[in-house]
Order: sequence, then C-alpha cells, then structure tokens
Amino acid sequence: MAQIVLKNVVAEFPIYGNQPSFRKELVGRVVGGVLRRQNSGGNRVTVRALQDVSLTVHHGDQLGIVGHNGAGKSTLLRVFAGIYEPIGGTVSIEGRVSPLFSTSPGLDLDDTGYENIVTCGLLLGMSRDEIERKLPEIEAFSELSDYLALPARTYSTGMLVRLGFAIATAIDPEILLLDEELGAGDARFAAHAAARVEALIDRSSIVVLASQSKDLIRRICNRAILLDHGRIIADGPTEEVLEIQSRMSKSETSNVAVAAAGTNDPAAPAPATLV
Amino acid sequence: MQDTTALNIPRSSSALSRSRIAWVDVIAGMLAVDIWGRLGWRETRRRYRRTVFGPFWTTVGLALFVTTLGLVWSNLWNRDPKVYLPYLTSGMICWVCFSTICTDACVTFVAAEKLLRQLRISYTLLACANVWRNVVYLFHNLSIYVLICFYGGVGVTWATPLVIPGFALFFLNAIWITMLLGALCARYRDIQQLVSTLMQIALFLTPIFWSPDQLTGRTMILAKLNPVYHLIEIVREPLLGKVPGQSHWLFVILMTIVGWILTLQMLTRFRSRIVYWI
Repeated sequence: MAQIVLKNVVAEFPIYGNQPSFRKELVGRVVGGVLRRQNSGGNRVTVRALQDVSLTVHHGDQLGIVGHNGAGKSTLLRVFAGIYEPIGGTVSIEGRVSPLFSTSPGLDLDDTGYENIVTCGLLLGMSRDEIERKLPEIEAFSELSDYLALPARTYSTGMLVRLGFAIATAIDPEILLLDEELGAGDARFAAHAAARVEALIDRSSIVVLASQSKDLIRRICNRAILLDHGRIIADGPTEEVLEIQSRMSKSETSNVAVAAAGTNDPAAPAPATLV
Repeated sequence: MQDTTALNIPRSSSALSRSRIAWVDVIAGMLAVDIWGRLGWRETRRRYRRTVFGPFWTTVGLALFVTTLGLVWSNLWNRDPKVYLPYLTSGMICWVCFSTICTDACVTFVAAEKLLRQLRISYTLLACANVWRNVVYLFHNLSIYVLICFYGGVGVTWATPLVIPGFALFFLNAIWITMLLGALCARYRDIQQLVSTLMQIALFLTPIFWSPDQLTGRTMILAKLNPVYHLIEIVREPLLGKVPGQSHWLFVILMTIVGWILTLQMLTRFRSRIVYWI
C-alpha cells in the first residue's frame, strides 16, 4: 500500500549570491514565501517555502495542490520527491515515487528520437526490456513515425512536446507526482493527451498534481489541499477546497479569517476542514 | 519498473543515517553502468556528429603538439628524441585527460540542474558519466602513443599490463575529484575560474615536459610532493614498459583513500544541500 505521511514539515531555501542592497529590498517585502534572515544581522537570506505542513496521503488518493504563485506547490511536490529535504519535521513514504516535473529528463537535441526514448526511459526508471516493450506504444502515440530516426533538433516545438510526453507517460508509477507544466502541444493532441494522462493516473496508486488550473484539478483529483504562504489552509474534497480558494481570492487578502480549528488528519473525506 | 536505486536514492530516516545514504549514493551510482555509460557516450557521439573525425581532432592537435615540441626540446636539451618523445607523449596524454576531468568536474552538477531538480539521482552517477566520457577521449588519444612507440621502439614488456591497475586507480581518483570539485563549484562559482587557471600552471609544475631527476635538492622534493605527478607516473611508467616505483603506488593508494573519505564526508554533510546550490 502506497502512502505519504508528512509531519510538521518545514522547508527553507537559502538564497545565494545576491547583493546586499538587493537583499535588503527582498527582506522588506513578502513575495510568496516568507523571507527571513537567519540569525539577525547574519548574511544568509532564506525563503521559508513550507511551514508546519502535516498531511497524510492514502493509497488511492488523487490529490490536487492549489494555491497562488509562490504558495509552495512545487516545493511540496519536490519534498514528496525527496529532492528538497525539509529542515524540520518528518517525511515518510511507502512506495516508489515517480516525479514527472518535466516531460523529458535528459532529452538531447542532437540525438535521434529513438536514442532519446532510450535515454529518457532509463532516466525515468524503466529497464531496457521495458523500453523495448513500450516502444511501439510510444511510437504510435508520439505520431512522429519516420521523424523518430532524425535528430530531435529537426523537430518542431510541438513534436518535441509530443515525444517527451509519450515517453514520460509510458511509465508504470506507484506514486505519481505531476507538475502543472506537463504541457501537451496543440489542441488536437491535447485531447489525445488527456486520455493518456488519465490512463497513467489509473495505473498509479497515488497521484499528486500541482496546478493553477481548476478544471484540471477538478477532472483529475478526488481530494485537494490549498496552500498559502507555505501553509495548508484547507484540505478536503476537491470542490469544497476550490470553493474556499475562490472565496479567498475574492476577499483579496490572504489573512482571511481562517478558522483555526480542525484536525490535522485529513483521513476522513469529510467536509473540507480549514486547517 | 526496474529497481534503479541510483535514480531514487533512499531518504534519511531513523534507520538510515546520512552516512549510509552517502554510501548508497556512491555504490549505486557506480553500479548504474548502463545509465552513466549512456550519458557519457552520448557526449562522444555528439562530437562525432557531422564531422568525420569527431574527437580525433583533439587527438590530431595533440599529436602535432607533442611531435613538434618533442623534436625541438629534445634538441634543446640534448636528449634522444626516441626516448624523449614517448616520455612526453605518454605524460601529455595523461595530463590532458586529468586536466579535462578537473575542468569538466566544475560543471558536473551545475549542468545537470534539470535532472537534479526532478530526480533523487545519485551524484556519483553523474560524476561517473563525466569521467567515462574522458576515458573515451583518452583512448582516442592513446592512438598517437601507439604510433610514437613504433618510432621510439618502445615495446610491450611484462610491466605493460600494470597500466590496468594504474588506470583503475587513476580513474577512481578522477571520480572523487569530480564529486568534490562539482559540489564546491556549485556552491562557490569562483572555484571554476580558479581551477582552470591552476591547471595552466600545473602543467609546467608537473614532470611532463621534464623529468624530476633533472631537478636537484629542494625543488626535487617539492616536485615529488605533487600528487598529480604520482597519479600520472603510475600510468606513464607501465606505458613506457617500466614498473612504477613503490612510492608512487603508495602515494596514489593513500590519495585514493583520503579522497574517498573526504567525498563520503562531503556527501554525508551536504548531499541534501547541493540541490539548493545549483
């Protein structure tokens, strides 16, 4: 059984190499995350991207992460993926994590389509046999036919997207992490792609999707969390969380009177709790 | 899915300390031959693309360099070109390999930013890919040496197979150097410039154009403290058909152990931080 459990997770980014004046300006302002200086007068500036995040994602959950720019969506995904290690709290994950933040890790424009299928496939964790087995499917889906024998440099942007997408969605993930940029080319291809993403989601035990698009979240997720300044401020069924989000953006201020009550355990798919 | 630990390094937990993760990074990374082999080879393929000779152009340049320099300097220093040329060529080939590895090392992690932001990939795997690429170039360059051997009459002796442990140690050191420089250059971007400057000077301070027995007294001792000298010597001597002295082996083995201890320490303390630096 796949599962993700986060307890009081805190994540911070150090900012390196900025000029003192620029730094002063940054500290004076709040853009998305919470900026702070480490030990007063110190020269380290950090962005606190996640604050005290506790969350349990169960087998079968299709979790959407919503929130405005810089609320910590991508950071949270990368904490799930183990790329950013939290400076506080604990993360425990059961099951193999497949992050799909960009469709084509290791894509090389000088290599042919076929060579890229193997390289990207290996980097996405597929074995040679698996790649071999999935090749016809990738070939068919990318609709690149003879172009696959040509260097990727000769492809149009749309063709590159299709190739990357076809490879990335060929994996058999357990815990699937999706970032919103998983683009899908032209409109006709987009419809095609949606079906393929749905198939991919169906064979994953847990899906986590970070996106700005309410439609996408609605279509894919059965549960959502709303992030604001690195905190989870709502957790529950998709519709209710999206409702809270639109109410919040209407009142135009992030420190909306949020009822502080509510449990930290969103296990029950009960009404959305404001955490 | 295959069990690719190198692409999905386990996380720290109470059961798995940071030092264990450092070990997993190193071992799983080295074992993922399929992946780093492919990543390293791809660079070679790229250099061959649309050219007839590809990386052999570097080889041609190097061949011109050693033959002209070798002939002039053997005259200048009154040395037999049939002895001096093989010495210079073998040393120069090792030096080019070493210095390219060092300069490449500085961008190993910075250039892999996209991968590192998506996967919990082994850093050792990335270092191996970089070193492997230079191994391929080294074999290109060794073709000059074969020709020079015919000219100089350097034959295969029973000491020649020692190139195998020699190269093994050479590249084992190259990997840790790549890891340390890669991490250091990711954090402090000035190091990269420093390394390329140092490499230019180090070429003249290392016995490649000259041999250490041409020096006397204190200068000779200083030359013998140069780690690059020993690293090159354990490969150059077998290439010349001679057995490298015991002190060279000892020095290099010591250097390998110390280097890897440092690298494991670095990974233990900073593995989770590197991604913030790039």
